[in-house]
Amino acid sequence: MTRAAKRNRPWWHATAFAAALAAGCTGSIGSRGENEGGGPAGGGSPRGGSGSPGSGGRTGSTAGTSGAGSSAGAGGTSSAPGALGTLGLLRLTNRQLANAYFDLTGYKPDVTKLSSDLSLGGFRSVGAGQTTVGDRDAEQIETFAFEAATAALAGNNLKSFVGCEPKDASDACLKTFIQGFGKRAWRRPLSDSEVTQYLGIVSTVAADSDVRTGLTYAVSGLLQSPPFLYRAELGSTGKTAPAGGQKVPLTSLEMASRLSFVLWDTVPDAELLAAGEKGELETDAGLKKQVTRMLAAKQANDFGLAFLSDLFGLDTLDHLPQDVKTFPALPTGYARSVRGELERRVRAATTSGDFRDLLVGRSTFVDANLARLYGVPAPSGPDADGFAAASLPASGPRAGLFGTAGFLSMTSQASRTSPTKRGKFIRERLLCDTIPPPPPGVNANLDTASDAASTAGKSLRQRLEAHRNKDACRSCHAVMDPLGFGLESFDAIGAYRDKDNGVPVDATGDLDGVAFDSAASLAKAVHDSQKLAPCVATMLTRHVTGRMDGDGERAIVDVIAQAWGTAGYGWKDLVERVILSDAFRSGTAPATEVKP
Amino acid sequence: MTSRFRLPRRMFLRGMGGFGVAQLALPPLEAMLNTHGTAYADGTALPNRFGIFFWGSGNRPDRWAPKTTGADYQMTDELAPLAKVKSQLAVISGTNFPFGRGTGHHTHVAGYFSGSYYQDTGTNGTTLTAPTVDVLAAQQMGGNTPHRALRVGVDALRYADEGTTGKVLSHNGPGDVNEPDLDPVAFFDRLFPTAGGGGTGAPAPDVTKEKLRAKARRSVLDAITKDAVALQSRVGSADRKRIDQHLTSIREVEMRIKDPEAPPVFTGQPPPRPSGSVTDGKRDHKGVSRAFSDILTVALATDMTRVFLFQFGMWHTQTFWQAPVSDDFHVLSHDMAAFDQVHQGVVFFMTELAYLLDRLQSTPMGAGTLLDQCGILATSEMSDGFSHSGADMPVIVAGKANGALKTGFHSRMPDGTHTNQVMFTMLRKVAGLNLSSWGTEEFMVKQGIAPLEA
Repeated sequence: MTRAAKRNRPWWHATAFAAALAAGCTGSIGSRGENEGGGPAGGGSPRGGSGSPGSGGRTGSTAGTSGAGSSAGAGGTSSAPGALGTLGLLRLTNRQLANAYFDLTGYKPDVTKLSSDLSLGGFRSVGAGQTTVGDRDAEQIETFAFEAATAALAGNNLKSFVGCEPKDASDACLKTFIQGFGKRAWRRPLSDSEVTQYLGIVSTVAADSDVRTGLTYAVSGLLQSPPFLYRAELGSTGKTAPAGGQKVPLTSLEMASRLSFVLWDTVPDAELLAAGEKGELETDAGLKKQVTRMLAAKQANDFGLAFLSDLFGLDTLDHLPQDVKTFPALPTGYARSVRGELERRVRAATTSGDFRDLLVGRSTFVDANLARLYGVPAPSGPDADGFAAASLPASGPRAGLFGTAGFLSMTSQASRTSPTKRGKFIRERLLCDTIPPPPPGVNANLDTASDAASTAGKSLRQRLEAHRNKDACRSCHAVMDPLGFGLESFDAIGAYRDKDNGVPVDATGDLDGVAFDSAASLAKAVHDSQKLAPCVATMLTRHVTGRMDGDGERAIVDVIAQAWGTAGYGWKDLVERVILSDAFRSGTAPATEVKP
Repeated sequence: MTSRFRLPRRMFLRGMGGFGVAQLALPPLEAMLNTHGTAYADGTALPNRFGIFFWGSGNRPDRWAPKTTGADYQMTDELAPLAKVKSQLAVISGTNFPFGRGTGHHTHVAGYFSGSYYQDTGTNGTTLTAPTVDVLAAQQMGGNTPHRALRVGVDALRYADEGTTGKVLSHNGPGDVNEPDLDPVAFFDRLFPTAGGGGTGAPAPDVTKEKLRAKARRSVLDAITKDAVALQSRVGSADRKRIDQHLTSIREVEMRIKDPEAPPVFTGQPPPRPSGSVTDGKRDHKGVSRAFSDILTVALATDMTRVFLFQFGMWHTQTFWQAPVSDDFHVLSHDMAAFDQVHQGVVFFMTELAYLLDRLQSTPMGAGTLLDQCGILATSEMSDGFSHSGADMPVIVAGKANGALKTGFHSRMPDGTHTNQVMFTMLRKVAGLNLSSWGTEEFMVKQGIAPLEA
């Protein structure tokens, strides 16, 4: 299933993981596409990976096994080499829904009343390819749609919204309105029967009341109907669906919708929709023109942040377990502070310069809380949230993402750091290595006798290293914990320390053969890793396509990563390369036969 | 899509139960029930209520199972909070969850609650392949109630990694979860829409206007149903199932459109509107749990639903600081030095379970209580979370399901008793599913728990 990846297998597959593989992580440890046996990163992807028509091309065809590494995934059966992930329906995320309502009607729904977005593989866009609309959400969305329609048609709004003042329900301008508004909301022209259906609602309801009420119900219907709530990206024009398993391009209109929801998190504007209708988004030049325009627009300001919020799991910051009892230094408003810094750093990294500076840069943003924690001067000329740019000491251990209090605390436990979590984050989210879950029946305790006597005078590193001497644990922890040890100079709230439990911190280790001796040199090693660029490109591809990568995406992404490096690792450069690639513009048509 | 929601045979309450419930407008009981108060006057059986109370990461087995069996068993530290409702409990010990192809939280959640292995999502995570028991029960029992099922979540952590298995217990199918209500205020407003903002109630509705409104809403829901069906014809088979689920949701919304001329299903005062879910800047698990218990009690008593899922927490949690414990319950379960805290956590869960059961027990229904009509399984996906053990699983069944279940004892099951036999009994005896077996592979069972079945 990973033929392309195998051919180009970099050197580190053969060396750095040899010990791990020998020790029992077989078939599961490895990088993107390395799971020959179909471990967790294998072909059984939600969007089909390499596509298995029989199972809807969606999920692993066999039941999962915990750590046994024998789940074959969807890729094993029928996929052609190089197949892209499967196309299908993506439900609007809550943010997309909120923005779409606002842009279409001026109404702002409180989407926190809906179930929260499901995140899969770290990405809510991937989750959007799996979820449906439950009864609670269907009822809530009905309310939103009605309130939005009511607001749009209230009082004098009606005339400007509808474009005329209809005398009665038979007024010809109503048809024009339903066609025009319907197209904006559904991102495609309505069929004649659909137009008739919604005009029918206007007249039926108006017969009992008035045209305004009739219109309100019709508009509310358009704003809660499945063609509004799901992005149908099927690569066909409707009537003639392509055969399952076939590679198909998205239609120009589907591209307009995809571009808009991906880059702007909302419905397309008039220009984009028109380009979609004219077929311009099927051409390189037409697509490039729109992508350039869209990336420069203010609606794209949150695009990089949205991607990295998902990739880094910043929602975790809402549930930090550390409290002031354990950490008397924990300032009030700490969660807000650490999120504020991370968001600002992410914005900076996705605005200009080398994206990888996010990992090693010493230019950051601090508020009063963080200035104290980092030992830098209080912010001067702070923004409305109390933040100002700051420089971290050039020779200090604190640099880049790994030096942020947000990263350090969200990868810790309530009362101590977790080198395992920190290492796992680096392996999985930045290097795209896969760590399987612990083996069955494992004794997960850190110490054989975890009384005060056995922990006294030992650093966490020393205790964890003992843990790693257990055969069952060693193979996987050996690739996670040592990276985390590099960050042991920072405690569970991100404060610097030179001792842990009285023992001087030992922050030495190596990443796939590259030695480091501090948090900053670990960051540099990750920054320099050959896995970083392909991993970022892979993750971005997942985020924008809403599906996990199959062979097809992997081959494309490897090329993109190479070119991205040559071009200097600018953020927008990567985005353009991914969006203009075949991975974004096409996919595998879904299997349509219904399984009994 | 054609049948409109008909109010179920109305359920009325008698006596002086807890707050709120006692103030419901009560018609003469004799008109509704037979002379013994054990069935409706026309002979229709009283409906069962199916409930699951779930917490993640297990218990401390050495402090859970009673040493003695029978009716006079001695309650242990971890069961002690339930003493008040002891006669309504069946404590079942000694069952084993199979080792299967590996163990762990994902395997256990999938195998226990859906009867099948999970599958990989390809996103470094897992999801369920089969619907969970609450969904099966809702399909069987929920047809005539405004809500097929109600699901609440006390802990609000949504674990970011590892797919859907660790996030939400209830699944319709792969990747398709039923997120519980997490906000008791929103939950209250959803169930008692006219009682919001202090319970003063809305002005009497204008029946003519309401009828037109209901008609207009139905025309919209009919239209979007047609749109959904049309979309369904264009998509692949996996997406077709998603739209099926969406169609079911639309039907449920339609069922909830009230006929303004029908007598109100709920005429009394609801429970107090909760004030929030946060105290001292942290999730108020205790307050949230009790608010959900209060609301669910009224919802069950008035037949708004017959199925509920009380997801106290998944295995990763926020800190149950009121227990008090000091960290994610999963982290604690894997730390030998924190075993006392795990115990403390389980005592906290049982204390809040006791609150729910006590509310149900204090609500008279017919000749008995609301709890008499329930069958509620309280359990976790493992026993000793420390070693991910499936040996001697924690199982309590509360309520008699209108006589289908026996309670008031501790029974230690013989070796080889599969924990899923408990689910088999729940699905057959409480939900009324006609099953000859349930589950697949290692998780398949063909019999229930004999001492539990009346």
